[in-house]
Amino acid sequence: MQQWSRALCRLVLVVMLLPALPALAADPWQVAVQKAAVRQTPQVFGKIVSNLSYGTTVEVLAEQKGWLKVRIVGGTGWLHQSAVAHKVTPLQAGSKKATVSASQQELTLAGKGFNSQVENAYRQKNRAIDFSWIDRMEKMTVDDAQLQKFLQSGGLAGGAHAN
Amino acid sequence: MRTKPAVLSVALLLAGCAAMTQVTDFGTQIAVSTGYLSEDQAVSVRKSSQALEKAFTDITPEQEYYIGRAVGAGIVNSYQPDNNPAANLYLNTVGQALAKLSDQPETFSGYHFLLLDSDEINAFAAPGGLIFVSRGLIRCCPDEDALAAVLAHEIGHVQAKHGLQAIKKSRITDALTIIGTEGARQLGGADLAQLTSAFEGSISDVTATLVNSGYSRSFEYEADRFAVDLLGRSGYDPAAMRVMLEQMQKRLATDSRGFGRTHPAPADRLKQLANVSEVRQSQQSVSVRQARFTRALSRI
Repeated sequence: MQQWSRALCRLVLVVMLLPALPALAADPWQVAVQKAAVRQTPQVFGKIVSNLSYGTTVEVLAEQKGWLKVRIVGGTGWLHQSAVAHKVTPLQAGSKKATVSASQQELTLAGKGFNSQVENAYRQKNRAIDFSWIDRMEKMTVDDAQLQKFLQSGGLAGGAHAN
Repeated sequence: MRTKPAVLSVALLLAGCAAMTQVTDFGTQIAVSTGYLSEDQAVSVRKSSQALEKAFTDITPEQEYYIGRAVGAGIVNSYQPDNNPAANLYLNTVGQALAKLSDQPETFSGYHFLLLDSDEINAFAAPGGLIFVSRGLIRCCPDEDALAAVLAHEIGHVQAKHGLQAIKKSRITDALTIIGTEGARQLGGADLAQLTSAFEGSISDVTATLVNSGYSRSFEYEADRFAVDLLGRSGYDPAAMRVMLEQMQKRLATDSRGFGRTHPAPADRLKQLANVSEVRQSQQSVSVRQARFTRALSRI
């Protein structure tokens, strides 16, 4: 009876873990921001040695207090973990995850969600809504050197070395 | 007896799966009983909704960004932006410096801040990191530390994805409605447009939450705690949050718009922050911060 019980436990464990294995293998780290700065050191104002674009798959070599050491062309660098995610590319029609669907088209759209095409359609339907200030806002960016100087002169953390 | 844990695990697993589709099952049961769907169509709807529930909850950073842009566009459609380059540069410098020192310094397109030309005491955090602050709220801030408290609170809403959580209920409901209709009529080209409308409805839901109803008290208190923590780790005085709320309390006494309608009363928020103590700042730092605060914002 005990042997039977152990066998059942093993079977249940295997059944429970099986679906997770392909997911782990299929979800590598990807860049989750438009432009991710790869830094020489694991610090928010560390020297930028490379930039990676959205969706780029990265090989993670090590982790240190919220930073990931990644392989880049010609060496290694550090990415903040908020710049990467396990799954950033939209669900595509034809992928295994899209098979349980009454409509392949719907899933493609649902997977793509809101993108530039959908925004354009939204703007066509809502012509009174002006996006020009949003575009201007996105250009309001203060560079690392200015931020560091600002923090330093105000006696704030991160002025010299920030993790 | 040894099999009990394993059996229990399987039971819990199945119970979890059942909970995910409970709403759909309930909806399709009604549809079947009232003759809107055949049993086969109901099965199809259940399968579709399982797939779509998964798809909708997997909002990628890029999708969050586009949702945030549309929500932000709606806000500047209702509130006139203040075209004051010096003030906006200063807001972005304080805000982006705070974001840098937070646990999530990166979003798809970064954090950006805009001053709204309104005396109403208000602020909005759109998904993805677009943050809007009214002149009325800035006037509740006697110094840079208090301004940092306001911006850190809004950054907290972004990082906790409070905006996206406002979408959830309605977008799932909308999606299920569309799929239910499709199940009844089989599939057609117009369904794609309907699904796009579901996204459009999601934008309205977030905007309505931000502008009209506001977040739940628990979300507001969570954002306050986040702000106090971020102020502390940035070197600002965490007690500045209390200073700002006390100012707001005085000003809201005669103004029930904006925060007066969408946020818990400052007195309630202050009670939650009763244990936050002041961190002494060097006189030189205080002088530098006060000078740049006055220079950038005294004329708004």
